[in-house]
Amino acid sequence: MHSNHRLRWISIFAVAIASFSILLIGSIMSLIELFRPQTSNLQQSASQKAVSPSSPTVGRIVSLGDSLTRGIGDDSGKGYIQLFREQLQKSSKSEVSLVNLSVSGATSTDLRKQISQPETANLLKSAEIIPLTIGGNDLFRGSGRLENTDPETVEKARLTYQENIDFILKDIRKQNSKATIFVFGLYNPFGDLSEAKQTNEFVAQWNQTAQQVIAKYDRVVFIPTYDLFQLEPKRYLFTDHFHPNQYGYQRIANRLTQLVIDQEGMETK
Amino acid sequence: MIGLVYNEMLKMVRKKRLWVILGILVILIPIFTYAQAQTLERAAKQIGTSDWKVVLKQQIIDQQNRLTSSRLPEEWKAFIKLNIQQQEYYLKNDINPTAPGAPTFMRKFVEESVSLFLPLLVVIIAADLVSSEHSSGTIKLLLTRPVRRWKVLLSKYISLLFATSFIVLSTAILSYLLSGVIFGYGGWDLPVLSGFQEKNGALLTEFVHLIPQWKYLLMAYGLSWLACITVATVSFMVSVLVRSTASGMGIMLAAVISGNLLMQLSPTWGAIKYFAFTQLRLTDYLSGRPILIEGMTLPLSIGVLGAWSVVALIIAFVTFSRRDVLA
Repeated sequence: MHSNHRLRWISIFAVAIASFSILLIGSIMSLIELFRPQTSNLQQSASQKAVSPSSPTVGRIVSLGDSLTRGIGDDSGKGYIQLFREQLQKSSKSEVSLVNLSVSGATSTDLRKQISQPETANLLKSAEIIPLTIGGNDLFRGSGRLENTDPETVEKARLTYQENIDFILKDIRKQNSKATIFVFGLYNPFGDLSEAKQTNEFVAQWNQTAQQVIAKYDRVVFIPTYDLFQLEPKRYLFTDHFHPNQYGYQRIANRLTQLVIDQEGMETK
Repeated sequence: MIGLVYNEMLKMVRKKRLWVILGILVILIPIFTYAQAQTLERAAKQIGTSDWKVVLKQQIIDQQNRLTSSRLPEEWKAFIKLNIQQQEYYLKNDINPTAPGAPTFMRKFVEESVSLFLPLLVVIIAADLVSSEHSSGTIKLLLTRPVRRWKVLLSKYISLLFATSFIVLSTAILSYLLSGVIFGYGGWDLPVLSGFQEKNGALLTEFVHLIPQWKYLLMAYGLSWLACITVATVSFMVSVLVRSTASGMGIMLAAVISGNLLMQLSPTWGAIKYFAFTQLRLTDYLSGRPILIEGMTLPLSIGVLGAWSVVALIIAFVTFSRRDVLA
């Protein structure tokens, strides 16, 4: 009985004091650590890491661009890119992976900056299909109405757009010479408004610009979207009268799927 | 004195509260583990790859997209921006912040539970430590012994500190043992980044350095222990002031939960910095997770927690020695 009591005494105190002191040591260590910041020891390790071969990234689809690739306006949140992936998955035995690098609100200048980041480049290297939507924000400045009805300003923006898209395609090609790049053309969300004539002209001009640049590159496909929204914009546009709705996205996705499935050997993969 | 402390600890063990807490941990940790595994799996499935670099890059882009939303409050924007910078830093240095393994789960678990879950466990045993003697009538027996009152109270407080340590350490051990079943038991020496500092909305990385994960865990649990001790001390005061178990616990639960709510609801209201239970997230200083409340620094957090503990102890001891129990 006495030894039993003693054993309990010892075990209770041992557990109590052990846990108390371990945590006390931990907290003292952390306070020292946090109050006296050490200088970075990362430079060395980072350079070591750079030598080791990076793990192969699997990513068949890497999408770039603006809110259209994001899927803004689709109630289900999928957008054309997810619909496309689902359709492609149905006809493919292996897993279809998708990395969506689009940033809603991005202009061609933003995309140009993004492309130059080393991590984006890494992802692009392993891509097989690169869909991209860009230019809508350059032309329409994101929200609602066409702000730059002044033809001179639009013309200036168009030249920037031309230069950027050329830079972007060149850069993607530099990273990845094999992938097929799909560039979507612009549509006119304001085709049923009073200024339709003018906006239609702008959109046509911009699409022509894009096509001219694209023509210089191999395996870059221009996919028009202008016609999809031309006759009944209301039916395929979201309530913001700018982004497509789910039916609009479905149509865009169908176009892309058609082209990709047509590609040689894609079904058997 | 040691005899008194032993006596108090024996009471605590006999009361079975500690076992209830262990039971709660044993039930909840597997649920958290499973949830975490599911989240990882779903994220991997959505993107179609489990390559952490791709997942991280996607997370960064997703957050950039959140930033473009005009409905997002400014303080959240600043928070997300800092988060993005930190993740980009991880990516640039080729360090996976969420490499799978039980130690990584332990780290995530303590970072998430330091402000609410751990304090609640502490409250379970602390909130009626003194008042239960009233309700069971044993207070008279305790105080009629030829021992000074402050010694009686001190022995209770010491045993509470031990119990708090036991709870925090058990959480660590149990989360390791239980989550390892799914995540595996390796990963103690994985490098973790620490030393992120924020200045005027930008992330400073000049002090960022690598720490092996075991050391990081020791420090993180040490910090959460400091937070838990403050909670224990304030609960201790409440248990002296309030005589019923239910109201003592109610008060403490309300206080801890409202501390968490205030952090979320009104991070711009500067005065909440001085409320102890908004300062419990000490581990954020270690992980470099951006802090939502403006102007929070480690010295301030430690100061506020320390001040609350000291004041609570003084109130507890003064009240207890002056109280007329025999009436």
